[in-house]
Amino acid sequence: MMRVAFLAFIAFLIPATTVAQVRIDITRGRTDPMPIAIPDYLSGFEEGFGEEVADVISNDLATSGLFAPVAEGAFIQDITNINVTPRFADWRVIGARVLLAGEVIPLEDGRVQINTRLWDVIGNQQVASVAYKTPRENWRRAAHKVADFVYSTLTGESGYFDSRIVYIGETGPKTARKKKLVIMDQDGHNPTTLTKGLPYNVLTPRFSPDEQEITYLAFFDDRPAKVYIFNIETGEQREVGEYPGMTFAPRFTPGGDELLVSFAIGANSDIAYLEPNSGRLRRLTTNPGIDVSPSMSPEGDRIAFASDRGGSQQIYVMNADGSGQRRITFGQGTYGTPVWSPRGDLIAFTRQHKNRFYIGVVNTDGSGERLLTEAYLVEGPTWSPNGRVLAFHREEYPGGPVRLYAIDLTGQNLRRLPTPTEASDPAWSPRLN
Amino acid sequence: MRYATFVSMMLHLGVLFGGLIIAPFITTRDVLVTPVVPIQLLSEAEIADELSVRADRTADAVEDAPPEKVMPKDGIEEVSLDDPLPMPLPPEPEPEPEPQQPEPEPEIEPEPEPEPEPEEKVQPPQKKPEKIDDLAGLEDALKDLEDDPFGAPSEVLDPEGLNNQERLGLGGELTATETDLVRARMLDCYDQLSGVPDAANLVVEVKINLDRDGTIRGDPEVINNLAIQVSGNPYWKATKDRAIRAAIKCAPYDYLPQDKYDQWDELTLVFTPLGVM
Repeated sequence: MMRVAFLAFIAFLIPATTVAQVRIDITRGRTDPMPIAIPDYLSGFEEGFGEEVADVISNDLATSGLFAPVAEGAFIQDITNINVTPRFADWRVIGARVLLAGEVIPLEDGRVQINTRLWDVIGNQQVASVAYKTPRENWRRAAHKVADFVYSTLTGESGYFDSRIVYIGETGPKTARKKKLVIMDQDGHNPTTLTKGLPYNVLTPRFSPDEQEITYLAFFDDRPAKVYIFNIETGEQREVGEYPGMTFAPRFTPGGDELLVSFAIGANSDIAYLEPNSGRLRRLTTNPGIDVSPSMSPEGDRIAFASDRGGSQQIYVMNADGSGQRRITFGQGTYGTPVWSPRGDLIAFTRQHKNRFYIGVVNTDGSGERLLTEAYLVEGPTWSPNGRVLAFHREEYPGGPVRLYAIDLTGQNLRRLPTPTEASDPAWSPRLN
Repeated sequence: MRYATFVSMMLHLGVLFGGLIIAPFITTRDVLVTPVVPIQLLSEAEIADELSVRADRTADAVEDAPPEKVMPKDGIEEVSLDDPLPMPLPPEPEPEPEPQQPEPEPEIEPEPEPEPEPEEKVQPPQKKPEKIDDLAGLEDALKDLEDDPFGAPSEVLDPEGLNNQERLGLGGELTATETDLVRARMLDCYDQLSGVPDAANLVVEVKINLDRDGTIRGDPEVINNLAIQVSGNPYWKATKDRAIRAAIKCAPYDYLPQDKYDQWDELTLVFTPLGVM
């Protein structure tokens, strides 16, 4: 009797839980850039200032390939007060999904305050707001911060607009190139030569995690190349290491207290830690093959590097103490310059096959290899601080100009980074403070 | 002993099923229409600062806060903004916004609603789904014959008969073609994130209640909102915001067949972002 009662109870429950509820899986949506309306910022005290602020933000968001600023001519509502809810329908009808309204207010101490409100014109609500008080001369950087704020609010990942890129500025004929270290904002503004007038050429610059130092390879005519560290604030540069042979391909560990380098012994080269203050090398690989280009994971537990120990040069991964070395790429051609993503999930690399160069990404276990771009020469991949974009240099044809480019992780939005001279070996800074 | 085990098992099952029924009702709802109240950590000076900004948006009153803060290296200091003022604001001292505010209010609110209504009365959208029904009729009929011993093909094709069945939960489900219509609309409404790590697991379930004219009744509810909040995953949170926006943007859902309203009066849309590969 009890059994019947319980069965009846269960029978009563089951239909209640399985009453048809229509579920529709939405796995494909719109992947085109999201339309965003960015009217000029209000700046009653100085005509044109607000327009410049809006232009910087708009340019940042547009170059990411994830946002499409709506043409200003289409705007219906004239925003006159950013603190009053806008007429959402006016923005919906011109195709905008979100509206960015802002103003610049002068402060008594000479600084300016940049106020921004981000509106969801579909959901009829304010998404978020932010304000920056900034020295007037720093307004461009504050505008980058606003763009970062919008980007992170709408995509979930941190922005990268308030960051810088250091690269090798190349001048002179191909046979007698002058290579200098140049730093610029990620959008190409404020290019500044850091190593002007030095008696050596510079290669493979890399930022320290705190963005205060850059390590690079100094290339001399009369002696082996050496690893240097350059302090951006003081301008001081110093040679690192006591090793008599050549050290190269330096890169800071995520902690910033040590460098990972390759060092050469005759025709062989291995990977080692290089302690900047003592200059001591701590060897990690002892393989008779050529091990080069170490790059550490953001967690600091593993190192990716390139090695020809298996015949052709391929990508390998090992633990931070040098143990557990294993190959992760097996494709045709050769693989080089692995760079671990700051997000931790991917390793970027360069691949050469049949006289073409490719830049690609692969999961850290070797699965899911994907090529993003190709040319006669593409080299030196470097990740944006949020792990979303790769910058690199590209030579379209033999002897052609070398330029900097960037591409989205998805293989979309290939674009050239503006530089005043030919440029190679870009290195993206960490996000600034 | 065996009997006791069985009883215990049944009791546990009962509790389990009870939990399944109750669970959806204890998830929190997303507030969309009510004004947003951003959380700000403010010192007393900052509150005074913000209030002054609201009263008179000149720079003078904003100067109290800086000395309390450690100036960042780049000299750029982040401050928070006050809540925006709603559009209908009669006591607004500025003359310009006042005349504008009453105007847009009636424009915006009724705009989305009246539009679908006349369309619905004219009923062109109804005809389309009916055609789709005809196309899918054979499949439906066969399916219902298999699944439902009380059903008959004629009933499946007959709206009235269908309605009776729907009330019993016995048939008249949306066809694949009809759900594909929703998916097709979402190709434009859903701004899908791409390049997202672990994308397959960042599912967002949005439940919407629909009126017969296809408009959304109340606010969309994110069924797994709690899990999204607890995870702290910013990609999941961004996907949630985009999913809600998509559900609203795609309204009205008036192209779904009227005779199957009992099926789509409540829809659960399950959104996922795109991964890296």
